[in-house]
Amino acid sequence: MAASRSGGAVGPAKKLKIKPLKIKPKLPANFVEETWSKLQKAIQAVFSEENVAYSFEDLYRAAEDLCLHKKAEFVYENLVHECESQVTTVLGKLTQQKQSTTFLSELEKEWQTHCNQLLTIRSIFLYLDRTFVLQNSQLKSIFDMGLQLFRKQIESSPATERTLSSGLVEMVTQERMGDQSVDRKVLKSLVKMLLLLGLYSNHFEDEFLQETQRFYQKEGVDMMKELNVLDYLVHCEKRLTEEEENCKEYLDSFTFSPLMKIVEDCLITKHLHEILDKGFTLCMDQLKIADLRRLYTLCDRVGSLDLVKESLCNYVKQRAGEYVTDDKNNSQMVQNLINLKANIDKALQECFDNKESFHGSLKEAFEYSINLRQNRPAELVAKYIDSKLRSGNKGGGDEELENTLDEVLVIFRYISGKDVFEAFYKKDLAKRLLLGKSSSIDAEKSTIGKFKTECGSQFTNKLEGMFKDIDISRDIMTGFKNSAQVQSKLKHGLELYVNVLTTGYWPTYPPVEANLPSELRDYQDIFKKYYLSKHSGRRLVWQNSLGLCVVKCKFNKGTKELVVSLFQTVVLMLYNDEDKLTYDDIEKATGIEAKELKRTLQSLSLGKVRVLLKEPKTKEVNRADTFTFHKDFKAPLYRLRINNIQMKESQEENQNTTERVFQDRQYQVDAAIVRIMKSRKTLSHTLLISELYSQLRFPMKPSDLKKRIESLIDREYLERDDENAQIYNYLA
Amino acid sequence: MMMDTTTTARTTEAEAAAPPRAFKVKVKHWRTLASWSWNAGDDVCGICRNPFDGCSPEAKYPGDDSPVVWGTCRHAFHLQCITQWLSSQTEQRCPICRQNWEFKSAMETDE
Repeated sequence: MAASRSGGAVGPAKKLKIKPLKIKPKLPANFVEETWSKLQKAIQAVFSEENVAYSFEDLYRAAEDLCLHKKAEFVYENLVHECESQVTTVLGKLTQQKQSTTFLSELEKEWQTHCNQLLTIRSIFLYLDRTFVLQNSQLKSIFDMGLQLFRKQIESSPATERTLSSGLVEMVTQERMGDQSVDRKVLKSLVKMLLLLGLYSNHFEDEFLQETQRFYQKEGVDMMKELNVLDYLVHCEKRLTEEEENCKEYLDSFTFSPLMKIVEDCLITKHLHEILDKGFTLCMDQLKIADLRRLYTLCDRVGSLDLVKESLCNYVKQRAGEYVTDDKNNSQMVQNLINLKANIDKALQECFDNKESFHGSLKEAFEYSINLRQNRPAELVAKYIDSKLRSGNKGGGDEELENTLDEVLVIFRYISGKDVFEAFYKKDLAKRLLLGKSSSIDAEKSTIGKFKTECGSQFTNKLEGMFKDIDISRDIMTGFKNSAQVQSKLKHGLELYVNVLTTGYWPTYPPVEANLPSELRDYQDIFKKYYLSKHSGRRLVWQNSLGLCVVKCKFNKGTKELVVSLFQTVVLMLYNDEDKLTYDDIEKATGIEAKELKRTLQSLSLGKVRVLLKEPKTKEVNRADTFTFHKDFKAPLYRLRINNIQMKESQEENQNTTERVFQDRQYQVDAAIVRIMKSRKTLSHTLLISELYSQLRFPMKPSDLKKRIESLIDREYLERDDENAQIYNYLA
Repeated sequence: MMMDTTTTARTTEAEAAAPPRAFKVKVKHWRTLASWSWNAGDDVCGICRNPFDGCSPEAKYPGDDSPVVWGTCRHAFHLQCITQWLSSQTEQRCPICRQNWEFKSAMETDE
């Protein structure tokens, strides 16, 4: 402030003026050349990995200066030139390398160095990179330019190129063959190089995939020969995970799906039929959960689950078919089928993802195989249940029985001839109920309940009626015993129990005549009178064939109680009056039909408990034989059961049952036809047939149905339409 | 075999001794069966034409659920069938003989 005041006093302020330079400042004469040569030296030094004589700041400024003085283009061109000559020499040197492994590792090394060098150079020319290059869209950035030069150089020599990609492919192959020495780092970095240079898909990928295919095709064939199927699958699984990992580690993600497809194709799809043929049955038989699971997963991968399904169904058809058609092992059939089903279920749950589509086909397969034989399976299932419900069946409590029944029910569902089953079941149930052989009435009723939910009440109402009869009979017998009037008439100290059956509910028993001893006849008469007095309008027919008696026999060595059939009783009672009887005597006295009598005598004289002695001692009963009461019979037990000879009988019985079922079927078909026609009045043949199939619950051939229709036409229930023979009219 | 020879020996011995004596074979317990059906022959019901042993169209099950009844005229029908018939008629007559319909009592049918 003070100065200015004094200055002001001195004179007017001096104006500061800037004058233009007289001489325009000039760059040093050879500025461009010098600067460039400085930079060039630096570039060469970088490329040859020597010390750079100038500081990087100097160099950066030099490059910047050149650019600022509009020499950018010149710099860029020269830079390209420098790089090109560098790349050419480096790669030129490499091409001399013949051995591919060394070549690859050298190349990798060069590549790494090249990248590093490019980075350094880019740093020096960063200003150029960010200004001039950026503004000229057709120019590549310095780094990319360096890469492109590298690429051009590789591409320019097909030999190098080939050595490169085939070398790489070979490395992969070697690794696949288990060579541990393969340098993964080199592999990885070279593949990355190819990707960066844009050479990957053109030059490497195809060859790689081709080689992969070649390799796995061969391996697939070889391994299938060498390994057993299960090990082969393990191998496949291992290969797939390996390839997956490798691919992730060093290949481009685009290669992933074609690569996996090739491996899957060559290893699995091509051999799938053979694998399934050889391995599936084996796995299922031994229920190899892990192997099946693996098989399923692999097939799922290649989208061939249908083939697995098919194999599974074939397996079921084969095994179940064997069980069903094996005539020698009838007794084992049901158990075998149950086990098979359990195995299949387990496999389905644990190996096959409980796949929905499998269920339907399995059901078909089971149905197909079980119905390979008509009727017999139905009969055997009924027999199997009988064996479980019969008293004396060892094995578990109620719960186990319940489980077993549920298992059988599954098999039952597959049977198409449910009426055959019903007939046999009814027959066995009748025996269990009437001979008191059922292990538990609760179990019986729960079984019936199961059938009811399965097939409806129509199926079970007769069976339920049987239980009702048994209950009613118990009440009747209580009344009979308590009736004073009746008891006064009974003199023989015999205890009588009668099951009164409703005709129609029960299987029909062939009437077998026999002359009953008077005391038995008396009892029958008394009971009959009692019953009819309680129930008017009825008729009572005695069924002797299923009677059971407890008989007290006095032998010299002590008294025994024998549990015998009515016929056996009738024969034994003859010996109250005689010691020795001829066959003819017995036949005349008892009036039992010859076949039945022979069977009875055989059981008494040739069975385990021989209370009659036969003369002569042959194995057959003949008309000329005589039978003597065995006075000195002895046995350790007091109570003895003499079984009737059953074998032949039961075969005959089965025959009858089956025949009756067929008879019934005809009636049912007739009834169904009439029912349908009555409601429809007119119907074409095909429609009628399809209606019938939906109503009938047993298999029937179309030709048989046609016969029934013919017969109904004959009986004038139906007529053919005058104009169209394919159409039926109902005749009221 | 052993058993066989001894028993034969005994038998011949017994025969030799030979004072014939009655053996006691006595039935202690007898379990048997009988099946009942309507005492109307193998005939069919005159109304529904179903067998008496089968059931009337009204009933579900044969037997106790589908009883058979007789009129004083000795004609038999399913109970359900005749009841339906009678309720549809003004006059209570047997559909077969046109006599006045009356249910025969239990005592009478017994014979």
